[in-house]
Amino acid sequence: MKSSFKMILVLTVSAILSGAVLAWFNQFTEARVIANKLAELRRSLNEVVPGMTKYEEVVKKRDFAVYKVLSGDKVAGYAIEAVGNGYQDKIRILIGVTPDLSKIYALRVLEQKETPGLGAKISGKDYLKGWNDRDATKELVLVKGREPEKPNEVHAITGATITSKAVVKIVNSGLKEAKELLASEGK
Amino acid sequence: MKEKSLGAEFIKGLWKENPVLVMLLGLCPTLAVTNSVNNAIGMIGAVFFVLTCSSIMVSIVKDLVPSQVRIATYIVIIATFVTVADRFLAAYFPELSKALGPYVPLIVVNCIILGRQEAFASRHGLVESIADALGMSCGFGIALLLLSSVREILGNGTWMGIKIVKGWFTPWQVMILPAGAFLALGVLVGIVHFLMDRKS
Repeated sequence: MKSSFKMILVLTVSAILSGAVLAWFNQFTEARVIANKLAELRRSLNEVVPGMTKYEEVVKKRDFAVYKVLSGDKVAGYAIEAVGNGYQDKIRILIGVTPDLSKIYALRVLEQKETPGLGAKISGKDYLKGWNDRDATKELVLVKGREPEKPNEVHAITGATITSKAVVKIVNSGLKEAKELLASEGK
Repeated sequence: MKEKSLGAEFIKGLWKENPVLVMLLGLCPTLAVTNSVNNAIGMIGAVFFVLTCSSIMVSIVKDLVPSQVRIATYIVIIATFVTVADRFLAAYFPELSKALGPYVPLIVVNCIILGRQEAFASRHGLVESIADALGMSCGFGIALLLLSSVREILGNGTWMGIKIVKGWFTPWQVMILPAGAFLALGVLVGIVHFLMDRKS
């Protein structure tokens, strides 16, 4: 009886102490963690939509978000955050589009765990350049083995077809969802 | 048990009882984060902090804890320090924290740390435990640095992100993939054992 009481006491005390230490420590780090995330989002938004001065959240869900990017008083464009399955894990992409959603300004990969040296090239400059100024009125199409000619075509990465296809699919579904959403809101 | 000097407690972790290369403990983080030297350094820092702090705490409270619940108590202590390290990395080194992903929280179940509490800190005084923890962290650090250097140079042609091999060498992609981790670790452990056998 006495020994089990001691066990309970020791575990309770250590759990309470541990909780207290963590709560105390969290005060110092939490604000910074949130600030880091916001700064990162701001930086990416700035890269996909030119001339950003501030942004507003239109929708924010777990796997989908739309930000309205403002340049001064007028709308410079929208940024769509879309998520989908890649070759290894989820790929999270930020798409910058014009205010009428007819053209893609640029694309950034926020999160990916693709194969290093192959699929992971989607984060590289050479690949992302191929997404600049794409036509978003039609579905985007992946081309292999030749350079993209039409404005809605994007190039694939050699040796990473699945990843390249996944990115196109995520962009298409993200654009579709954003169009529906913004149309329903009448903006 | 024969009393050993503090220096000996420290030195044994570096080579003779190196936790990774000789005792083959804590292989999960060893294999997972050694694809670049920067990631390895982040992991070494986190393990160093957690191991040292946990050893200090465990050697202080060892006489208060009933033996039936000692493992549970040690895990609470370790998990507390791991969470502190994880939050610290997320707040001040967001890039590193993203690259290490789940492997920082997984330090809780790293057998080097629980192993040292069970085998050493719970039976020795404060000062010896600190010496032991420092030695073991340095041993872990040496192993991770060796492994990540080999993998990053062969697999990516860089060291700490700096390009060191010029055009004539095509990086072996496989070395920064999981398979390369097993290859490099196997060869490294083989070399260490060969050297030890020859000495004795």
